Parts: sequence; C-alpha cells; structure tokens
Amino acid sequence: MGKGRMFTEYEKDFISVNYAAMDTVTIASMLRRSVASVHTLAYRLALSKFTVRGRGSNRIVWSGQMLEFLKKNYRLMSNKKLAAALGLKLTVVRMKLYQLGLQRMQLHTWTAEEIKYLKRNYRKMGDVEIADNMQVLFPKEKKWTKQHISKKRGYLGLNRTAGEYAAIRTKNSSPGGSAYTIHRNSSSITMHDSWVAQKLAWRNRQMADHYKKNHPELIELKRAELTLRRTIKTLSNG
Amino acid sequence: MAKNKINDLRDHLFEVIEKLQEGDENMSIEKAQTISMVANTIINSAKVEVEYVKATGQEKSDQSLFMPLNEPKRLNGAAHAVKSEA
Repeated sequence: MGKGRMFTEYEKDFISVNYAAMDTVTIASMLRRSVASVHTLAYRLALSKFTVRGRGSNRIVWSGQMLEFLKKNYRLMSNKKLAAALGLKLTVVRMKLYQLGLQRMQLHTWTAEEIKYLKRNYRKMGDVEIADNMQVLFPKEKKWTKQHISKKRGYLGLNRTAGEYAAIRTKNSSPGGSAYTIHRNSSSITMHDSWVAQKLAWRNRQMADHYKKNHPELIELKRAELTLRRTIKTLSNG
Repeated sequence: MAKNKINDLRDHLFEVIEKLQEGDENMSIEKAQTISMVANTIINSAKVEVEYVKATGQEKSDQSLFMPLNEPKRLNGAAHAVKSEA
C-alpha cells in the first residue's frame, strides 16, 4: 500500500466549497493533489457537481423561496407556468407539488361499500339512477354523475347484457321512471306553445309572448313546419 | 279558389308529413325539404307581417294572416307614412 497524504481541514473545506463550481483538474493543481484523490474525497464527503440541478429530479435543492413561490402561486398558475418561472422541468414541479400536497382538486377514491353497492345494483339500475342513489347514500361534494359510475363499471368489468339493458330501459320509460319524466317535461319533444313561440321570436321574449297570446295560428303553423323538418331528418337518417 | 291562407299551409304541411310517413311515391325527401324551406320562408314573412301590425299599432282583426291589412296609422314623428299603392 502506498503512503497516503491525509487531507487537511483546510483542503477539505476548500474542496467542499469549490467542488461544484470549479473544475476538478484546477482544484487538484491548486492543492497539488491528483485528480483522482480529489474525486475520492468528494465522494467520501458526498459532494456533487450537480448541487442545484442534478441528473435526476431528486437532486434538486429546493430553497425556501422556491417553495414559498409554489405555495403562493399553485392555484393561480398552471404547472407549466410555474416550471417556466422557476426554470425547472414540468415533471419536477408536478412531483414537488404532489409531495407538498398542493393539489388543485381532490380526487375521490371508491370505498369498499361504494363498490359493493355498485356491484349489487348495476344489473337492475341505470347509471343515472345509481348516481342519484349514491348521492343520497354516500354524499359527495362534487356530486356523483353517470360518468363516474360508467367509468368505474368499465374498470371493474361490470358489463350488462342486452336483456338487462332492455329491462332497465323499460323500467325507466314507464310512468314513474326517469326517462318517462324527462320525456314528459321535455319542451323540444312535446313542442309546447312557449317553446315554439321562442323558436319563432328567437331571443325576443316580448315578441314570443306576443305570438303566444295573439297568434296561435302562427304557432300552429310553426309547429307543423318543425314537425315536418323532424320527420325529414328522421327519414334521412334511416 | 287559391289556397293561400295560414290554415291551408298548415294542412298542406301535415299532408306532406303523412305522405312521407306512409312512403308515398310522389313525395320524395328532397321534395319535402323544398316544401319545408318554402314554408319557413312564408312563416318568416308572416312574422314580418305580425311585427308590422304591432309596430303600426293596429289592433288584431278577425282576418287571418296573409291578408291585406287596413290602412296603417301614421307613426308619431315619422318622416313619412306608408303610402297606399292606390
């Protein structure tokens, strides 16, 4: 084994301070050491050339100022803009925000009970009905929608057969069912006088009232014309 | 006698709808589309007629639309009244 010359405290401090900023060859020549020995000491002291932006995102040193900036602006700026303002990569900012819990929206995780309810009912209820029921049973601030239900059904592979679909449709279309009520209350389907009057006097409430009150024959005519257009469209689409 | 009243047009439109639904050979979709467009134009002209009646302050007469109107009232402050063609 060769005799090693121990590094003095001064040399250690010098390397600690300048290793990142200065070229290793320069440091070695200034201290009259070999380049390899400087590298070895740097490794032992856990020094790196990449103190601010490392090879991986975890090497980045976040200053208090940067964190403060993130906390202040994450609701006002997009991740892209935050990254540009800090001079960092988008992924780095995204990961840091996630680490700090600075999320713009709260994601919902399905509980075991919710999944159980879905599995028990998806064969006999439509997605809208399930969503409405779940809003009552498992209230959620963002509210349950049919999209939530259908997406989860897709993930869990809970598909309905054609027969089950038909049964749900029949149930909803009969009096008391949701589709029946929607159909009954839909102006565009039933073509109420007010709706036709609005079609006649586009965005002119005063004229719409006037047509409705004084010109029922014109409303009847417009209704006939709309019905004809609808028939043509239906036949054209096959 | 010419069938040019509002009710005649409505009856005609329903007749077209019936023919379309029954698959009448004399009534093609193109023909029905043309009729629909013409009907829309007539309705728009009726709308103008109604707006004219409203603007000139005439009371609604027993006559149906698509009929010649009575002599309109002179509008206050208007530079000129609508002249009768006679």
